[in-house]
Order: sequence, then C-alpha cells, then structure tokens
Amino acid sequence: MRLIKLFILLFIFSCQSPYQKGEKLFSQHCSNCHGAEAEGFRKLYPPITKDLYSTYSDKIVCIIRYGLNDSLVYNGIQYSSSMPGNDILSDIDIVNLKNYLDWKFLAENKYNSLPQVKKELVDCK
Amino acid sequence: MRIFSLLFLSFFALISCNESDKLPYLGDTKIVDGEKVPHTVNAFSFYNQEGDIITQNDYKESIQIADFFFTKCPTICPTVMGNMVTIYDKYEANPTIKLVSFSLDPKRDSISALAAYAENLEVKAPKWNMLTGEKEKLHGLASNYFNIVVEDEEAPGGINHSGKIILVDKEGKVRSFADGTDPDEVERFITDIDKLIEEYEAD
Repeated sequence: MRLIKLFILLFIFSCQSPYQKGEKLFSQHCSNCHGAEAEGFRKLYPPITKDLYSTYSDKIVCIIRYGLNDSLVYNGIQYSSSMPGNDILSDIDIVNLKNYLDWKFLAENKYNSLPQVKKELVDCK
Repeated sequence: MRIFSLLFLSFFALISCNESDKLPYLGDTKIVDGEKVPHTVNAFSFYNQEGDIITQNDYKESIQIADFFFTKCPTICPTVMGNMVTIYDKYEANPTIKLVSFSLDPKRDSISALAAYAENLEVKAPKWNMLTGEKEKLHGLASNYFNIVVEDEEAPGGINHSGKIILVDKEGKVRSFADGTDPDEVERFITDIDKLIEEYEAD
C-alpha cells in the first residue's frame, strides 16, 4: 500500500516540469512574440527551436537583457525585427529563465550559477 | 393581474427584440436636427504601407475591422495581431471585409517600416491597410475608436495602450468590439462580424 502511494506521488511530481519560475517568466516576457509554444509568429518573430537556441545559447543572457538588433536567418527566412531588451528582469530572473530554456531546448539541467551569469552580464558590452 | 401579464408579455417582447440578429450601435448618441445619431468614427487621412493616402472614404463600401498598434510593441500587439491575422485569413475571399491597423508610433513606423511589417506578416494592402501619419491625429483617432493610448517612458516600447479590435459598419458606426488579447472575446467578435455581413445581405 505504501509503495503504491509512493508511486502515485512520484508520478505526480514527474509530470510537473522543473524550472517553474523560468517557465512563468517565459510566458510573461517571451511568449508574446515567440508564441506560447515558442512556435514563432509568421515571418516577424522566429520560433525558438533546439537549432536556433544552440546558436545563441552562449550569448543568451545578454540577448535577454539587452535585446538583439541583428537580423537573423533561420530555415531560409530572414527575421529583421529587432528584439527589445528586458530591463525589468533581475539577474536572478535571468538565471531562472536560462535554466528553463537550457532544459526546454537543449534538454540539459545546467543549474547556471548566479555569479557566472552576473559576470556574463557585465561582459555583454 | 391583467396588468402583470401585460407587463410580462411586453418584457418578453423586449427580450425578443434584443435577441434579433441586429448588432447594437455602440458609443454616445448625438441629437442632430432632432434625430438621434449613433457615434460615428471620425474622418481621417493617413499613408498606408504602399505610400497611398487612405481616408474614411475608402471604407464606404466596406465593413472595417480596426486596431491600434506599433511595430516595436513587445507586449500585447503580437497577440492582437495574431488574432487580426486569423480574421484576415477567414475573410480573405470576402471583399466587403477590410482590416485597418493604425500605428501609434509614427516616428518609428515610417511607410517603409510598415511595408516590411506587413510583408513579414504576409498580408496585403488594401485588404489590410497599415496606416501612419501625424501622431496627434493617430492618438486622437484611437479614443474615437474606443481605444486608450498613453505615452509612458516606463512602458515597454514607450506607449501604453489598450488592444481593442473594433467592428465598424459601412456607415462608420461602431457595432462591436473585443479585447484582442482574449481568445474567447475574439471568437464572439467573429460571430458579430458574420451577423453584420448578414445584416447587409438581408437589406
């Protein structure tokens, strides 16, 4: 009986995705343009996919904070709208968001460290 | 008792009136020459994404579906525009239905910026005109079309505004509106568009 309860509990927890804070930040600050499922919006805003995210993951904290002015080409489509920065997000928010993005698009549990992200943010410019 | 049943009957008669397919006329009514005139949208004259001057006269034979936006808007606009695209696709073959998006940020939304935006959205003028011109006139027209605009340096993109989609009939009267960010309201709005189409077909 106890074992069954344990299994039920395990089942419930395994269904819930990790990085709840990051997921919430994504729906509040990213999904307006990139879509609720990161599917993108016509030729205006690109989808976020494993391929595209891998290309930008090194610079992602800078892109989240300061935006991206370069147009990018993905799957033969040129996306020329610039992405605005998000001054509203704190350093901790950015760590939470990056953890979620790394998990969602790279299937990696990176648990990025706050000091490391802070350093990257200082080095952005 | 008789009075009661009479009241009861007239009440039902009123309800059934309201349930007729005709959409209401929204906004303040004015009295002109002793006659009630429903709120009518103001005259305008702006450039569209192809460099043509568009005025309210271009909508005399059209049912107008209007919203207010700006291309650098990072918050509600993509959602509202997504719903406008749904409406555009649904009525693509119906020449009576025209979409019009007024820019609230004409400084950044030049004619060429709007042309690029429309191209990326994969929509075409004059089925869907994106309009730009003098800021004061665009902002003034917004409230006339039931939208609220406030310039706010703190707001993402610099402008706070409501994302309402407005349904205007061929006579320039506002017949329905929806919060363009709410999928349920937009669904109801689309049934209102169909009702207005039927109203003209019945005439």
